[in-house]
Amino acid sequence: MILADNLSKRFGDFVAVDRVSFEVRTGEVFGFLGPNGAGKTTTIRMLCGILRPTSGRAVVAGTDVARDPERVKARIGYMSQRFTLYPDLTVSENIAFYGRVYGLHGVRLRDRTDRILGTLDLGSLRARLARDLAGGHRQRLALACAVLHEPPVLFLDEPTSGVDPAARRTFWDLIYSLAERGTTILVTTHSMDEAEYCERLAFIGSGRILACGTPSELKQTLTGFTTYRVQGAAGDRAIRMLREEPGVVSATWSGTDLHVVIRGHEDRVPDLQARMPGGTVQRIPPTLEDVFIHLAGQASGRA
Amino acid sequence: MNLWVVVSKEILHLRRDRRALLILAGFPAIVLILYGYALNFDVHHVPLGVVDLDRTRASRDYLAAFLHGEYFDLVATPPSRRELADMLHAGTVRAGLVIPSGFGRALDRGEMVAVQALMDGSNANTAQTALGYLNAFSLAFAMDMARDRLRAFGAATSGAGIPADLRVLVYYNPTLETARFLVPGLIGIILTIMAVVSTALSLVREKERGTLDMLRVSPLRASEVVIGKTLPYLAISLFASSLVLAVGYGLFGVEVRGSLALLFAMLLLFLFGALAMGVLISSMTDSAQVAFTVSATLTMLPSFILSGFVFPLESMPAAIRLVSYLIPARYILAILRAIILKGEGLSAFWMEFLCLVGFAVLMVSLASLKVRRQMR
Repeated sequence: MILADNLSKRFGDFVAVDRVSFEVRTGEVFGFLGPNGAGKTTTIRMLCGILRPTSGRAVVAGTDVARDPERVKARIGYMSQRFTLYPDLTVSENIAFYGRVYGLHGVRLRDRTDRILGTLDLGSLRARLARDLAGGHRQRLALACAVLHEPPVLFLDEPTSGVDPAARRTFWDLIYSLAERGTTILVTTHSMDEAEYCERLAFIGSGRILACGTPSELKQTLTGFTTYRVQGAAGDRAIRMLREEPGVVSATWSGTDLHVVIRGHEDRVPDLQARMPGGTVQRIPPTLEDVFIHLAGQASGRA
Repeated sequence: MNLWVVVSKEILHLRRDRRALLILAGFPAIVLILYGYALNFDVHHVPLGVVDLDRTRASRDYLAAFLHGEYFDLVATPPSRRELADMLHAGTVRAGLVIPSGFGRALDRGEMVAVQALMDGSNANTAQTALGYLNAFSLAFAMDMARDRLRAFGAATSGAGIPADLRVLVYYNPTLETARFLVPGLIGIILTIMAVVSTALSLVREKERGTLDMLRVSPLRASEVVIGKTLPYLAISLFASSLVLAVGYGLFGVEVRGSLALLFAMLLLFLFGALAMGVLISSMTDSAQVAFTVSATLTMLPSFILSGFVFPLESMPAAIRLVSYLIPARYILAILRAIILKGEGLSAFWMEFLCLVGFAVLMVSLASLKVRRQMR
């Protein structure tokens, strides 16, 4: 449903997206994971037909984006990472406007609006101005506007930024129910937790795809390595000390814990524990974050 | 069809923001009322102080010549010239006359008499005009006197010995009222400011909110977005112009002598250019603040100063006059004055008309070029 074939975008000397290739199958929830500025949004904009790629090709919903952007536009839904509703219009006015823009009118528009407001639990807020909505509601309204015309392909650019965890959870439930009905979804995020929800993922860093696969496949990248969690370690001094341990590939903060990746299969808990008398060391399965940091490190030549 | 979707959304925005709508629609008429009454170049009721050192019937007659009509109000009769000067200094009088003693006797003997006039020149415009009135009244008195005297000598009664008598007939604005001159100018100026600023703002706001991205991803065409967003402002601008015309007629008695259809056709032509200019500005800026500043600067000052609205272009230095040719308000002003005050047709202002066409074509093509590049 979505095909990116060697897509590149250059802004002057700066290469924002560098020969990115991937494919998303119908009904799949595909994640685009990477830090801010990695080129996620730029890639999405090229796929949506509002940014012309410097080179490469994009095919969305069976149409070459460069050849017929208008046809592509009618068949995609887009939700931006910014709050992109009209704050001075009500919930139903916002929905009606976007619906009409996509050619929905009269009874059809009304039916769809009722249905989507029901699904997204916004029915009681119809007459509320968008500016008065809470973050989670705004985000659901934005989704409603993006999917009202039932597009086969949906682009979600950091849809859950600035939303509390509970609302985030319900949001992902909605994304899954859309995917079950056959919508192909490309979602970008820089949250590793969210990445776990995706069926397949592409890691993107400095404009390049570092790795692509299911979350468990990606974690396999770290076979030949072992991962440890250190709880109760104090300060950056701990990181420096851990990095001196032989075979350590990376030692980074993950929340208040330290994650350490070490080359080799043997259990290194005793060695680490010796270095960290004040902390508790445990061997853990690698998280996506560990994988990402490892890959990013490799890409920049530090590994 | 899609165009209508955008238009109706824009109308929703405007309806939600009643205050802005009211300002857009009513502001021009309010400015006309303020300017019509305040920006008055007519000089009336100038406070006059008179030192009459003669106190004869002749001096009283002379004085009476100044006081009929509403040009001068006699507010003080100080005993000496020095006190009159003090009053002028304090601002209690703006003009003064000193009639010397022996005025009446000298007139009887047919001698020349000098009367001194004092004038507060701090407002050069008013002073100039008031001075003109003083001169004229004095001259009228002298002429009447001369005529009487000639008659007394038995000279020919017809013509009364005055070789040439200038009778002035002012066309188009017979009483030379400021409001009459202002109405057409205000329509032009306010339309420029409003059309450019409001369109620039409405489009930039869409950018600031990120909603422009949503529109770009949608199947809407760039032209549908831009035209759909400007049409309501076009309608409001036309409504505001009608309101100005109505107020001008109701309060200041300014009627449109020429064809109303032609008038609105010209306004429409001008608005195309102005709205496109707003679009162009919005496409080059990203924040409402910048858009407002740029559009206000580009429209407000030049149209007030360089359009011939208040300051006559003919009296400006050649270099500045050249710049004024770049100000579209200049052309619409000339056209509006021609239609409203003189009742003229296209043949009288075809040059200005062509300039406006050029302005509109230039702005529309620049704007669409720029927008199309941006929407891609």
